[in-house]
This record gives sequence, structure tokens and C-alpha cells, in this order.
Amino acid sequence: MKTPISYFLILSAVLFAIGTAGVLVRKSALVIFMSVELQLNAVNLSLIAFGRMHGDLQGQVLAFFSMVVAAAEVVVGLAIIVAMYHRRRSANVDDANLLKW
Amino acid sequence: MPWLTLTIFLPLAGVLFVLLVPRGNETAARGIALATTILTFAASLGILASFDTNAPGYQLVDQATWVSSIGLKYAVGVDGISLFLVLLTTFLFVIAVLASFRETPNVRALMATILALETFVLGTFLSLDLLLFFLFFEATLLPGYLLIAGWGGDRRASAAIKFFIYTMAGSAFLFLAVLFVYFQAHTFDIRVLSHHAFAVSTGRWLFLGFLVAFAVKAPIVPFHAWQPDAYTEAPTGALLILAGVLPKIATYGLLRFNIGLFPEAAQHFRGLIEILALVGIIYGAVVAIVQTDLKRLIAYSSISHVGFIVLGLFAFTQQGVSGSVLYMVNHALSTGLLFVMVGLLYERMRTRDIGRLGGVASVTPKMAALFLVAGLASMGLPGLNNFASEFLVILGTFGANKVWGSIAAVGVLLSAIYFLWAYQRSMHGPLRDEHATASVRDLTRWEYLVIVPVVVVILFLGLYPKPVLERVNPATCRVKLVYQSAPTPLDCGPLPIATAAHGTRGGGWTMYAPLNVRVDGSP
Amino acid sequence: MVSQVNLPPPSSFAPGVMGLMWLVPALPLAGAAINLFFGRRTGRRSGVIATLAVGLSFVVALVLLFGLLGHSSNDRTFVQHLWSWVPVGALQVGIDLRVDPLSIVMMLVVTGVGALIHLYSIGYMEGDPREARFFGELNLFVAFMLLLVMADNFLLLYLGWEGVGLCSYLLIGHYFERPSAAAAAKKAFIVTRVGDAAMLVGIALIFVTFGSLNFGQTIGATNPAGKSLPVFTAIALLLLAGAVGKSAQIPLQVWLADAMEGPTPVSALIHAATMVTAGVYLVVRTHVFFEVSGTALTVVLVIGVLTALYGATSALGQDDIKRVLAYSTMSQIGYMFFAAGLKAYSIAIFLLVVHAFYKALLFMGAGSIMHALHDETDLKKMGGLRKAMPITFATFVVGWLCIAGIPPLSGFFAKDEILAVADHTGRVFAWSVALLAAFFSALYLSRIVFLAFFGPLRHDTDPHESPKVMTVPMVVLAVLAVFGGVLGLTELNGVLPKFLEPVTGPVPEATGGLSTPVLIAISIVVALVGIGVGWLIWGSGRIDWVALRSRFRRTHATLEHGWWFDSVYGAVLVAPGKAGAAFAAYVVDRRWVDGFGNLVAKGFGVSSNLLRHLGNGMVRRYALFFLVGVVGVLWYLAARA
Repeated sequence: MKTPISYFLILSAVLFAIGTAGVLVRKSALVIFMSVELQLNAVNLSLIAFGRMHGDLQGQVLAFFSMVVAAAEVVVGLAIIVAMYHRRRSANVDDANLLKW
Repeated sequence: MPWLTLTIFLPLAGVLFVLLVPRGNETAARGIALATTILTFAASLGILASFDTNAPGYQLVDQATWVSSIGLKYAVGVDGISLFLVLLTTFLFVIAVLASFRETPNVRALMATILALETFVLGTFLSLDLLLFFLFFEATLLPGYLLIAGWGGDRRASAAIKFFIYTMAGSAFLFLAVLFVYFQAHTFDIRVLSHHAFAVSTGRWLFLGFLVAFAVKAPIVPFHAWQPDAYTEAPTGALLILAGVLPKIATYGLLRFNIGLFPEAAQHFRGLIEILALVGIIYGAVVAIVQTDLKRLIAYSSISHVGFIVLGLFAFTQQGVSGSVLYMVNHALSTGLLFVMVGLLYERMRTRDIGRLGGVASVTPKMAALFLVAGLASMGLPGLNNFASEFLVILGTFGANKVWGSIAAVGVLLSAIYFLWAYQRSMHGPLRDEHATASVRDLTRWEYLVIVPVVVVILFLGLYPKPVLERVNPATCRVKLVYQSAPTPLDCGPLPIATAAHGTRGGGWTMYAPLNVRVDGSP
Repeated sequence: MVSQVNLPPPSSFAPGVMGLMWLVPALPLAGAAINLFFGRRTGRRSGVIATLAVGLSFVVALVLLFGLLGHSSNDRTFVQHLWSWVPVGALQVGIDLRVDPLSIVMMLVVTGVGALIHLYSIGYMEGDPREARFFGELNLFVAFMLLLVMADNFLLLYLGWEGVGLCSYLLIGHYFERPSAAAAAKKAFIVTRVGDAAMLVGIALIFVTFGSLNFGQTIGATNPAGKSLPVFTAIALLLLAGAVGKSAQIPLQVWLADAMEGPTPVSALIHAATMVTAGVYLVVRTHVFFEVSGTALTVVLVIGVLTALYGATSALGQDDIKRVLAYSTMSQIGYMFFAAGLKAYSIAIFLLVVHAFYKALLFMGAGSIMHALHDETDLKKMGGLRKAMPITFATFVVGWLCIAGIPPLSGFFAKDEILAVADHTGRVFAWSVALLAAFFSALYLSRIVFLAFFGPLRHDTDPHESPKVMTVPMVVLAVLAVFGGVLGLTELNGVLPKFLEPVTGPVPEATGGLSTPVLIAISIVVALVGIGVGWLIWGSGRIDWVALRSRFRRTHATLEHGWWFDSVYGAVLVAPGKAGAAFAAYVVDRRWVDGFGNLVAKGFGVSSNLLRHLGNGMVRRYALFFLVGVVGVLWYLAARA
């Protein structure tokens, strides 16, 4: 018996919600970053689940794309965080508030 | 020879050469810029030489398809109206480059900006494609902004921003109107558009869209708030263009588009515009009277002159329209010269404040004399250039509406008041002590090189404007063709008086029919 | 191309000499160009160059006169088309010169008297640092004045008209370091431009009415039947406004007295002999409009009489010898307007001519006195100059008797004929006012003569006679002033009236009034009484005129300030005008127009100030907004589905 699609989707939604909450409430840039990854993976999970449901590979292909983009994003993002840490001795996003009015 | 295309893009080629000059070699940058403008002027003389005086339509047309999917063409052509605006532009740019020779820092950038501006201005006057016109029209804004912001006076930043934002706000309407024209007529070609009949209300809305943009750019009162600041802060060389040529883009647009494309709307809004123009004539002059900064004074006088130009355009008589076209050329020359003279004055006295000047004529008599010549030209002294055009505008307006014409004549008086009063206080009287010690030189040879060509043209056009008028007239008559549905056609034909050209006194009274100048449509 | 107007047009080309007419303005113009552009090189020779230019121009004008006399009196109009000036549609204006009896008379006066004044200036302006410029401007003036009187269309006339105004401005402001001179120059230009602006409207109205600006098709073609009367009245009054401004007539007379700030030869040439009489020329030239209108002619008459009296009375209150003469000029031009208002145009021109002689002479005399007394112009500080300056004295007396109107001097004939026409055409009240003005005229000049040339010397210099280069022109003018009367011995058959008749029409014939001998007797008696009273007050030493003045302090102040015109204009026009301009500039422009733009900018400023707090730099807050947005969009989509 196949696991119903709703199981995957609920899990995905829960993961996504955890990720979102993490982005919104945590101050450390690294943790926020990890939360973003969690969100991405939640989306990947639903993509694969849909792919399985339709019985083709499109979902998986898209998930791979998303992972590649995420990897690239991690590179850029981590570099920014490192640079910021070098400058400010802190990875707290609330300290990076130059981009305002 | 594709004279028009050559003329338009020569300065752009000059920009490339100027930018290729190594940093620091300022003399080369200046030289290249001067050579480019002179070549461009020569090319524009080529236009004049191959121009057919009697042909009313567009001539020397160059065209190529640019973006076929929206019917966008590169199409340029010249007629009597644009011909002299082009010549004026190429001429004044030579003078402007000369006048900018002493401007620092960043000479390369300055020269490149001026040259780029020349291409854009020429493109504006010569475009036969509405979108192309719009692109050039908008493109002039950036160099204009840079010239003020980069090389202007103390308050250049705010003046430049004001200039940019006001003009941009007007252009937003122009952009909408241009797009809307396309959706209505499915073409940008001015030659086709001028035969397109827009629905009455559409035409009126479009007219207003164009009007707002041009009213800000010209500027017509009450859209002029940016102008005194911009003119006051701009450097002299740039001012020749900014105050001399750029307003003509707008008045040219009024004639070419507002009147040329939407004759019904032009007729409809005529009263409003004429009144705005009259208000501008009087208002600009009156405000000029009490200005204390000479540059500001000339800026306000310019508002008054632009009022005359607009007045003549919407008089819808041939004297008025031809006079306005001539006025566009003349105003650029006289106001340009005035600004140059004030620039030279400022270099010597380090002030433009009338209250702190005085008696300058006794140390620099030649400069004072040429300043007077410029002022007299600007106030329409017969024999100098402005007079013929000012008279034609007043006459043309008077033929259309006697009250308007009479009010315009008051401007003639006011111009004498503001200029002569300022001249008396700044040039006449005893020399003030603070200047007595300064070593002040009269004009140098180099400065004559800037001034004399302009003065020569001013005198020539004052005594013999016929070469201009005879080329302008067929084109302004052509406006009449567009107008035929309108109730007051321009009168272009010969005098409807068939009797002998010479009247006699002794041989009895000769009967002459009154001239066919119509007052508000009644014959 | 020279065409003779009265013959059927294109067939007639004037032979020979008439083709020279362009030289008349061209010569002084060339002189001006030389002196203005190469002033440093001409130096001391500038005066000679300028004088020669005008002198040659006079010779050419004489040649033209003889050329004109060679034709029968109805064929004396020649037009030379030089080039086309402003051609637009129906408007075809050329640089067209015209020589006819009226313009040749004006040309001869301008170049003849002009040449003498140029000659005089060589002596008077010696040592002036701006000599070349002075002569250049003087020559330029003559050129413009000639264009004015030779123009064949209204626009070219206007060119000359404004051109002489410009030269007047430049020359009044010759000593521009003096604030009073600078102010006077500006005032002269602006006040006359009030009239000029009206005149420009008049010219526009002429074009709209006639479809042309050429004299031949406008003045020569006036047909009362075809046009409405108000149009003619309007044209005439608008032209008159220009004339009134240029000729310093009420109500635009306020600039002339101040214009005396210029060098004295300028006053003689521009503000006495030529430019200020341009208004008379204009009225005479366009008299057809005035006659058709009728009303306008009456206005001319009233203005003339009033100014004649105004000038003559105000002259009495002046201590500055040049200001006396300035008011005298107004008064005399008032007589000319008066004559024109009586339709006695040729008499107006007759007075214009002889007035040019004797008023230029008087100014030269005044200049000669100033030359001797180190630029002293105050009559109170002169006196007893008779012995030291015999030639000046003798010539001044000629001018005096001319203005007073003592026969057989030229001034007598001109003035007497005007008074006679006034009486004969039934304008008895105007006649009596003019007679009163004549009395004052005799009085104010007697005052100058007795104060300056008689009595004790009240100046601590050693006066001397002026050099020959100055006295010779004075003597020539004095001779002309004495014998100028032969030009118009009688109003109907004088040489000048007959010569002018083809242009001006005949002098109106007598319809009543007193007989001519009686009128002459009255004129002479009035003149003699004027001189007698003058002698009694200022010459006899029996009356303390200083005490007299303080007794009538109010009256004197009124006369001294020209009936307070300046003060009234200052209070009614200038001050409110300045206040209005300040209001427009500082309130309307700065606060309203500029303020509106700033208000819009401020509106954006305020609203963005509120909104900017949303962007506080807290990345997590941005993320929350993002989330809310996404949820909102999804909600909307879900709700729609």
C-alpha cells in the first residue's frame, strides 16, 4: 500500500512552518540560514511527493534544480555572513540594519 | 549626402573621440569638442545649401526601419520650421564649447556631455517619428542635468534636481500621450499622423498631454518654477544651450505636434494658451524688474520671451507663426549673449548682485557696451534681431485679437524697464570701492571670439531676416493645410488687394479693400 | 530701385541724382562705424571725421533738393527700395527710403544743423576721454534720425524712431559715472518707450486696416468712406502717443528736463533741434489720419496749447540754464503741435525749422557759457558775461528775440502765423492761451539774458570767449535764425508752405477773426511786454528777485518742479509699480508658484517619512512582511477559486 500523499504534504508543511518560524524568530544569521534550508527542503519534499504521485520524474528533476540553486545560494549567503562577521564580529541579523531609510 | 543623419550623429562620434583622449590631456579634449561642433556646423550648412527654399514639405529625408514590430522607424527630415532651429543649434554649440573652455574640472566629461546633448537636440528637431522624437526629447534631460549638477554654481544640486524632476513630471504625460497616439493611429510617423483625424475628445486629451510636457520644458507660466534656479546655477557655456536651445524644443513641439497633429484641440484651447502666454509676457517681465541677481533677471526675462513665442504660435496668423519661429532663433541668440556677458562680468567682479555692482562701464567699457547690445537686442530694439520677430508676433496676434496684441505690446515697454534699470545700477554710476582696487581687464581676444560671431548674427538678422523668413513662410503655410478644418486659417496668399502698388495723394483717393485678417473667424 | 511715386508705377525710374538718397543716412552711419569701432585710432580726429560725414550728407541732401526742384511740384516723391526687410504673407516691409518735400526739409535741417553742432562739438568736447565714442554716437544719431524722416513705411520709421531714442539714451548717459546722468538716460528711454509701445500697436492697427505699412498705401490711400471713423481715431491717437513721448509733450514730457544731464551739444542736436521734433514730423506726415478722425486733431491741438503754456511757465522756475531751455523746447514744440492741430502743417514745419536754428543756437550759447565758467549751469552764479563773451552774447540775443517773437526775426513769423491761423479759424480760447504762453516765453528768456549777460559777475572765474570752432557755428546759426523768416513770410504764400503743400496740403484759409495787422500788433505788444517785465524784474536792479522768489515760494517750487508731474508719477505709477513687481516676485513667484512645487515635494516627503519606518533594517521584519504578503495573495487566490 502506498503512503497517501497527504502524509508527505503534512510533513512538508510542518517542516516549512518550522523553517518559517526559525527565520522569523532567530537572530543568528547562521540559524536563519539553516531555517531557510529547512524551508527549501520542505518544498523539495513536496516536489518529490508530487512526482511520485504522478509517477514521473518531473518533480524529482525540479527538486534537483532547487538543490543546485540552494547550494549556490548557500555559497553566496555564507560568504556574506562571513564577511559580515569579519566586519562586525557578530552574526546577529539585527546588527546588520544599515539598509534602511 | 545624408546631411541630416551626418549632422545628428557627428557630435556623438565626437563623444567617442573625446572619451578616447587620455585623462589629463584637457587641451585635446577641448580641441576635439571644438572641431566636432565646427564640423557639425559645417554639415548643417550643407543642409542649408541643399534646402529647397520654396518647397513646403519635409526635405532631405533619411529613413530606415528600426523596430518593425511596432513600426518604429528612424526617419529624419527638415522643413522651414526646423531648418533654422538646426542651424541655430549647431551654431550655438560652437559658441557654447568656446565659452566652456575655461570650465573645470573634468574637462573630458564636460565636453562629452555637451556633444552628447548636441546630438539629442538635433535629433529632436529633425525626427519625423514621434517615438524617436520622444526618445531624443527625453535624452536631452540627462546631459542637461549633468551640466547643471556637475559644473554649476553653489546651489547646483538642488537646482539640478528641481530641473530634472519638473521636466520629468511633464514628460510622464508626454510618454502617455505618445503611446496613446500609437494605439489610436497605429503609427509613429509624423507625416502620416498629421493627416490622421483624431476623435474630438481624444484629440483634446492628447493635446493636453503634449501641452503639459512642453509647458514645463519651455517653460510657460505657471510651470516655470524650476527655470530661474536652473538658469542661475548653470555654467555659462551650458546656459547657452539650456536657455537658448532647450526651450525651443518645447516651442517647436507645440507647433509641430500640438498644433500640427491636433488642430481642433489647438483651436479649442487657444484662448487658454494665449492668456497663459500673455500672463507669461507680463509676469516674467514684472518679476524681472525687482530681481537683484543679473542671471535671475535674465531668466525671468526669458519667461517673458517664451510667452511671446507661444503667443505667436497660437495667434494662427501667418505673421504670428512665422514670427514665432523667427523668435525662437532670435531669443536664443540674444538671451545666450546676455548670459555670456553676465558670465564674463561674474568672472571679473565675482558677483552678479546688482546691489554690489556699479560703475562697471568705467573700467570695462567694451564689455559694458556689448552687454548693452545684448540687452537692446533682447528688448527688441529695431535693427537688432529680436525686433522683427517681436513685431511679427505682436502684429500676428493683433490681427487675430486686438486686445491680446495690445497687451503683448506692454511687454515691449516692460522689457526696457527691467533691463535699463538693471543696467543703470550695475554698469553706470560711480565705480564701487570694492572693485576699484581689483585689477579688472576689459574683454580679451579670446572672449571676443565667443561674442563677436553672435553679435554679427544678431545684427544680420536684425537688418535682413528675409533669408530666414522666406524659408520659414512656406512651412508655416503648410500648417494651414492641416488647419483647413479649423475656423481661422492662416493667411498665406498675397495681399487680396489687386490695385496698383503705389497710392497717390494728388490723383484722388484710391480705394483699398481691408486686409483679410480675421478676428475670431468673422471675415 | 528708385521709383517716382506719383506717376503710374513701374514705368518711372528716377533719373540720376535721386538714386543717391541712400548716401544721406549711409554717410553718418559710416562715420559712426569708424568712430565706434576704431575709436582708439581716430582719437582727436574723430570729431573731424564725424563732422565731415554729416557735412557730406548735407551736401548730398542739397543735391537731392535741387534734383527735387527740377520736377514739377506734384511729382516730387521718390522712393528707393534698398532691400526687403520683413516679408511674411501680406506683410511686405522693405528698407525703403523716401524723398519728398517734407522729408527733404527734415533731412536738410538734420544734416545742416547737425553738421554745425558736430563742428561746435569739436571745440566743446575737447579733452573728453570718451571723445571718439561721443562722436560715434552723435553720428549714429544723425543716421537714425535720417532714417526716421526718410522712411517710406511705418516700420522703418519705427526703426529710426527707436534708434534715435537709443542714441539719446547713450548720449544723455555720456557722463554715466554721474548717477543723475545715468538715471536721466534711463528715464528718457523708458518714458519715451511708453509712447513707443502704443505706437507699435498703432502700426499694427494700420496694417490690419490697410494691409500695408507703406506710406503710399496707407497715408496716401486713406479713404474715409471705406473705413469706420473710430479706427482712424484709434490709429491717430496711438501714433500721437508715440509722438507725445518723443516730443516731450504732456503727459509724457517729464524726461526732457532731466535729459539736460547730457553734454550740451547733445541737448542742442537731439533735445532741441531734431529728435524731439520727430513727433511733429510724425503728426504732419500722418495728418491724413488725424484729419479724418477729427477728434484726434483736437487732441493734438489741446496737447500742443497746454504744453506750450506748461513749458513756458515751468521754464520760469528753473535756475539751471539748460533746464530753462529744455522747458522752452517743450513749449515751442507745443506750438508746433498746436499748429498741426489747426491743420496748419506747413507752418508747424516752418516753426520746426526755424526753431532748430534758434534753439540749437541758444543751447550752443549756453554751452559756450558753461565752457567759460567751468561747467557752471546755475543762472544765479552767472552775470555780466556780455563784455567777456561778445559773440556768445550777440548770438544769444538773436535767439532771445526769436523766441520772444520780435520782427523781423524768424521766430516772429512762425509763431505769429500760428497765432493768426488760430484766430482766423475761430479757436479764440486756444489763441489766447497760446498768447499767454508767448508772454511767458518772452519772460523766461529775458530772465536768462539779464541774469547771465547783464549785472555783476557772480562767479569767481575769469570768463573768456569760446574758440572759433564753437563760435563760427553759432554765428552761422544766428544768421539763419535772423533770416530764416524768409522761408515763410506769409502763411499762404511763403516759400516753405508752398514747397510743402503737395504733402501737407494748404494752410486753412481765414474764416473770420481779427485782421492780420491787428494780430501782428498784438503779438509784438505781448512780446515787448514780456521783455519789459523781464527787464524790470531781472535787468533793472529795481526789484530784488531773490526776495520776490521767497515771497512766492509755493509758486516758485511748483514751477521749479514742473508742476509736480514727477512727484505725481512717482507716487501714482512708479511706487505702486515697484510694489506690485515686488509682490509678484516675492509673494506670487516665490511663495505661490515655487511654493506649490515645494508643497508637492513636501507632500511626498511627509508620506515617505511615515512609510520609511517600515524599512527599519530588521531583516526578520522584512521576512514577516513577506510572509504576510504571500499568505494574503494565497488567500485571495483561494477565495477567488
